[in-house]
Amino acid sequence: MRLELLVIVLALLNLAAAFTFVRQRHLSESFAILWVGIGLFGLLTGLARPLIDRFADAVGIQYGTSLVFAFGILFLLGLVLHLSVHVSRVENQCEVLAKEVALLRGPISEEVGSQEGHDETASSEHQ
Amino acid sequence: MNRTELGPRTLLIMPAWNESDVIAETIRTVREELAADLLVIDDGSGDSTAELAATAGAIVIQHPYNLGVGAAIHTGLRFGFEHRYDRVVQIDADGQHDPVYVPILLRALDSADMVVGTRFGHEYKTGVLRRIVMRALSKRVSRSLGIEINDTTSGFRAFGPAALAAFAQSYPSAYLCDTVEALLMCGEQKLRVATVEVKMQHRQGGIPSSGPFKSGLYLVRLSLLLVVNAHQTPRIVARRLLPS
Repeated sequence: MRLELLVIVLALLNLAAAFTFVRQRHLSESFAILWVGIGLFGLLTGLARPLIDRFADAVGIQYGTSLVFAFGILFLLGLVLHLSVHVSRVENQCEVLAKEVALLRGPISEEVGSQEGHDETASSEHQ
Repeated sequence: MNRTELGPRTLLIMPAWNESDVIAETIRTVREELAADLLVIDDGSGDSTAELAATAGAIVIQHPYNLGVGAAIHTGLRFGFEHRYDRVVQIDADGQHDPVYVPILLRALDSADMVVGTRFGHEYKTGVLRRIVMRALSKRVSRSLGIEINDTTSGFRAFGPAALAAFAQSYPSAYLCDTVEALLMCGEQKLRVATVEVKMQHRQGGIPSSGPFKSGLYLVRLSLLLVVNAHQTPRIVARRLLPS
């Protein structure tokens, strides 16, 4: 019984943290939904222990807690993978932006385009 | 001084990252030999590379922070494309590419979209593992391009209008693998590639970009590239390309 209580408290803390971070804009809404989902699932495992035991039995796992563990680990792996993908995309977007900024800020030069003797054409386009 | 006039539609690009020891000298050598616009892409150097390059007479574009060689080349190609140059030649900032060969590369562009200056001979000592990967790479690239190419990692290259347009859109920026990946992209996009044998100079300074750890990483990345490349979707690209 004390284990269930602990799980419930942790789940509630998780939910509270998710709400607080969204309110303070540390966490974007799409990720907040994910964390609220995790919190709710935690709450479920705390409140409905018999349900989980029965489900574990149905899939052939004798000990309900192992099911929760296995599920938790798989879920975390999935989450980390998702975050890696997300970070890769953000990295890529950052790079595109940095190049864009470099080109927009334009060339610095002692003598832009006035490279002796030739080509005023290119220099006029540098502006 | 007998400078070779490359014409107003040719841009030399030189990616540079912390090359303050050599950049001024390299630019001086290039400008002695060739009359053309020279763009240095300072890839977020922490030293005075950008100032030295500007003083030496180059046009300088600065990345806000270090993005890697591939990204620097991409910025250079985009600059060339957006400022309507026809041909772009990429030269190393550390002086290992002799500017004498540039007109030869450009001449080869008459019948190709991209020209690679490949190392002459094999005076280049490498480990066994690396040699195996290199050979596999060169086989893979040669098959996809339909020409024999032994030096797939050379950064001494000339881009014609078609290659410039294609690569301004998207250029591979994976760490150290950009040259190989660019060649594979040529194969996909049906760009014609030619090679010209060149003699590389010894590096005049700067840090060679290979410790044991980095080379290891490089090998892993290259192997991954061989497997994955054919099945990749295009990366995110900047849409606004040509100013009207």
